[in-house]
Amino acid sequence: MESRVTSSSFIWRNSSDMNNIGTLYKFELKKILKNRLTIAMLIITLAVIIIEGLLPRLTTSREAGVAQKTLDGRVIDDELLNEMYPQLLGNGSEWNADNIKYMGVAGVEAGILSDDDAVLSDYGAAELYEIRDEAIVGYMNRDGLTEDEISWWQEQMAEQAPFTYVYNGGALTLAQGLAGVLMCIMLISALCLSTVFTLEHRQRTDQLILSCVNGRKETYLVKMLAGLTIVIGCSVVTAVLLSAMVTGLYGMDGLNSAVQIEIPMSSYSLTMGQFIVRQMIVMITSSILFAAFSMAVSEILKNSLAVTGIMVGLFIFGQLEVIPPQYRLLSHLNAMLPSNQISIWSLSEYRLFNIGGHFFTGYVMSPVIYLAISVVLVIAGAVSYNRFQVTGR
Amino acid sequence: MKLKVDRITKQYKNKIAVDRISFELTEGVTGLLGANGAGKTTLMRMMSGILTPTSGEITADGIPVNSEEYRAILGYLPQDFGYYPEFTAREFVKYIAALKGIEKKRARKKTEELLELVGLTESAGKKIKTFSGGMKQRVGIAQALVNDPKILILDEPTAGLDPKERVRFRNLIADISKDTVVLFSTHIVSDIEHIASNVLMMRDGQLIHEGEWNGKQGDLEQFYMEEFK
Repeated sequence: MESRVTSSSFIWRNSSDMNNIGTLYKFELKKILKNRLTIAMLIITLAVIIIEGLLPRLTTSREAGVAQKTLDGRVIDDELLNEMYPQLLGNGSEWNADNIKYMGVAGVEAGILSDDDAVLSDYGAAELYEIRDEAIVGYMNRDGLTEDEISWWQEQMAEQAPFTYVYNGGALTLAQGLAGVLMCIMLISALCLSTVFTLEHRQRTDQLILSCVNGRKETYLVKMLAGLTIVIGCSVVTAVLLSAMVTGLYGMDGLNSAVQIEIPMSSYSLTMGQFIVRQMIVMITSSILFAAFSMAVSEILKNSLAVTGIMVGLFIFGQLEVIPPQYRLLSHLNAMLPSNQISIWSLSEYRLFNIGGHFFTGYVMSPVIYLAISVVLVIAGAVSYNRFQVTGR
Repeated sequence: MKLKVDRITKQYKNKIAVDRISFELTEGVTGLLGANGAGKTTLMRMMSGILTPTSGEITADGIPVNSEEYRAILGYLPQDFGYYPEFTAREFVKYIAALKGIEKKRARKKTEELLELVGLTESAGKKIKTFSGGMKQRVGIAQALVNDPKILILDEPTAGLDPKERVRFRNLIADISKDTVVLFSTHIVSDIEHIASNVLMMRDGQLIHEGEWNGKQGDLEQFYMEEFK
């Protein structure tokens, strides 16, 4: 075994170093998990999962879901529309035991027409799908898409209509729940991980750490790793818990439902199941971004409160649709914020990334961008950590 | 081991905290005396590698202060050091042992030995937040010694210790210093007068006295008082 320090008999490299890294990692995890704020946030996250899972059950009866499932596999065509129209009450605003099974289909039609004054029964299936196609192109022009981008989407959309109805209650609850859970992950990162480095400065333990042989790059990496473990662990556990709860309460029959059943103006050729997989990838990579941002920026600024403020502020800003779509770059950046990218409304995002003549959607690019930003932040944090000088006090 | 401080300076904007100080230390205790604001802590931080000097060099047998090799042979007890309130004394010392790169099995053994040495065996499993000031200071002493350092820098280590603990600590340091370079800063002359073979005195960032001290030169406290009149 090679000795790093010839004058000392107690420092070894190689296997003992790995032991030390493992020990340091456990201690860093312990520091984070012993923080009362972390425990409080984990309890809040659990409460959010339960609320997200139970909420649809409080607003929609089990019977309504069972009734809508009877239409599973039916193509939304003239035959189904003509069967539905005589059953509609109040232009699709009043539902009872006799007509509730058409609620989902009427929702698709209302979503396409997007006009409160439109009378649903005035439209045939062909006209409806034509209106949809024209409206989507209108939205794409509004969002500043190029002709090439519109052509790319039109190729994707070629096989989408007519839609096949599949009840998606369970899948929709899971998709909406994941967006809520991401907010909790962001808050865990902002509140609990922003103190990973600053606490050492505040408690004055930094001087002990930095004077030790493993106190520089090893400690920085171990702290980052511990923080990432917490948020990735939270993401995975919450996703599994929410999935289990939704499956138990509503079943998962809607995973093969086209996303257009919920967001008719979406131009993505995805099922709800495929969308949820993309959401989970966005969720995991967003968690990495949140953790890297929180820990690295708090070390750079030496201020955990400022980091919490920035993260919560960005999250709130993302929810406010304050950037007009004609400012394509800014509004695209806004759409790429994790809180927007994980939302079910991201299915109606048309702007694409053009890389070397190839087009990529936000679901492909956002994980790459989040990871790239995370790497840059981790490197910037490392530079700041290594340059830190113990002064004053 | 020869610890060499060569024309070290630390300047903050328009204030010079340490001004071109040079000295060499070998095994044994060196007492560092000086009033508040004299620059003792700044000097010790630079010697511990946690503060970069504006100019000058610090080396131990040619190993630069900012290297891993230097940190591997260093033990440091800062003035007013921090701790993790939720950690037990045992966990804290083990944590520092891991930071110092000590192999797990040896760290476990060394932790128990040191906790016994500083009289904390009974309280080793208790959280540090429940400790008195003196007990916390003893945890600090244990962590500084966990890697059997060749260079031991102690910034006011006796603060918070009761008279009995001070005597015990002095004896411990005297024993360690046989093969360790010990730099011991204090306000209390009696802490070092019986164990320091060498004395440094600082005032306004400058070294005003450096030299061996033994009984023949008279009373150290009286000398100190005269120097800091």
